[in-house]
Amino acid sequence: MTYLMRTTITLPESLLEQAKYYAVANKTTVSRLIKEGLAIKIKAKINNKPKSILTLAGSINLGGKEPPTRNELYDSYLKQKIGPRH
Amino acid sequence: MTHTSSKKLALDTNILVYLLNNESSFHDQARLAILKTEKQKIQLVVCQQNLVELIRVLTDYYQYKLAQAVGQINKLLETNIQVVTPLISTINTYLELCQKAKGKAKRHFDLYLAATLIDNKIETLITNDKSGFKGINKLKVACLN
Repeated sequence: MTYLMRTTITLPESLLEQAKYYAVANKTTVSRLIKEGLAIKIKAKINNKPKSILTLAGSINLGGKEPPTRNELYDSYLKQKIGPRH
Repeated sequence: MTHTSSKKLALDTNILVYLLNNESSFHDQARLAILKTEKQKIQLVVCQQNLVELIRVLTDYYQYKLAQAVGQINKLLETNIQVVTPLISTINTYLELCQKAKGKAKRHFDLYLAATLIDNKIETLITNDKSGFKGINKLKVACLN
């Protein structure tokens, strides 16, 4: 069971006016509009939570070869780029 | 990126490769280590340097197409992992680490990675190659096993 709570919020006058017109035109209430708007915003926030890096675990197949050490990784590149030229 | 915890732990490039590669002999260990940290609400972190390295490893060592490698990085960026960058002070931190490590050549890119992590207040790095991080007091380095 959902309990309803009364609360006070502060809105720009023009926004409240638009909300009232919208509510009348759409046969709803300003309260319902605010409730639905908040629910959409909060749900989107929850859904936007970044996924775990574990979702990428095992996503590619590179065979059993070990990756190079950092020295190996940079040495070959640096020799190629700025090493002595023959 | 969300920050849900003050505890942060960095993953090295080799751990990213193990995690992604379902054929790696360290794949299960990498997955379990990350699962454990997530359960402990520890924020996982990588440096931008790791992402550049990952692209190079995938394309040059595993003959992965560049577009696919970029796609993998984009997918990583959509996850809960936080990406940290070098700060203005990082060059000074790196130089301090170099001075302490004099005589131990050929590990400058490990030192720069460590400097980036230290400047971002990351205390622990998980890697499977600790050799380049020896003697760095401000950074704990852990292996998978």
